Amino acid sequence: MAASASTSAQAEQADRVLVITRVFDAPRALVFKAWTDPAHLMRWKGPRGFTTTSFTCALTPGGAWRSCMRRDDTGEELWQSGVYREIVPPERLVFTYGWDQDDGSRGPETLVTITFAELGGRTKVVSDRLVHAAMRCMSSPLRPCASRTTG
Amino acid sequence: MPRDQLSSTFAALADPTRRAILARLIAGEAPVTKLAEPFEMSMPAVSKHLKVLERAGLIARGREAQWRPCRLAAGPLKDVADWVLDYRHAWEQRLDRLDDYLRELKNKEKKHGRKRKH
Repeated sequence: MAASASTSAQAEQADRVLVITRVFDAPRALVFKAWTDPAHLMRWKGPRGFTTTSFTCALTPGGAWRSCMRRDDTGEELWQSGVYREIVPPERLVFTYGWDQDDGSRGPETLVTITFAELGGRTKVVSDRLVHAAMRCMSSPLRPCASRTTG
Repeated sequence: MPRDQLSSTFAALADPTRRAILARLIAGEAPVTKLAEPFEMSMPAVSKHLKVLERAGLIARGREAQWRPCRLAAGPLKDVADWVLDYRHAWEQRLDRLDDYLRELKNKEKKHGRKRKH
């Protein structure tokens, strides 16, 4: 179809839509460490109701990370992994992010960019996710409505 | 290439002309000629945009051969809003936890830190 090529090109342009910003009352070096040190990450990564049971990473551009989250109520284990694209301490972190699927294969990837800005002793964190790519991650096990993917 | 519904919804929404068409349809259904009015565009070009919107399920069109009025179909837009809310909710929770954890770390550092200001 003639329209599909231009449609996907336009979708590319609209990629960076979802941005989440938060200011933390902590120095930038510490916040950056909390995002990159496995011991720290395991303490907070994952929404409420989940416990991070494993986090391994090679913190270098091209290095892989892999993490397991356990659902507190069912004990179900959910794995995510990705590759670091950019590491600029203490200001910028870029990595890919994907969920392991039920069949053991790796799900589609999204690209996450985290920036850390100094704010007079506090730190502003901006998370920017490639939304269009994220759409294909509708099968994220955190979502109760994965059935929509097939719609 | 088969694509999931939400992807085609986002792709359809990625164009300003199509968003303007949707915005116009919020006011109520309209024939193609009416929808084309604000744009300096040929009718085939406008029709092409309408086809993308229709395929994405964002609009529905009447059956009348000539008139074929377009109206807004809200379902896919709600899916987009839901997805964004779910996503935001999960991330906000993570950041809440990070906030708690950083507080904990800072308190620890205060206790152990030798270089205390004042």
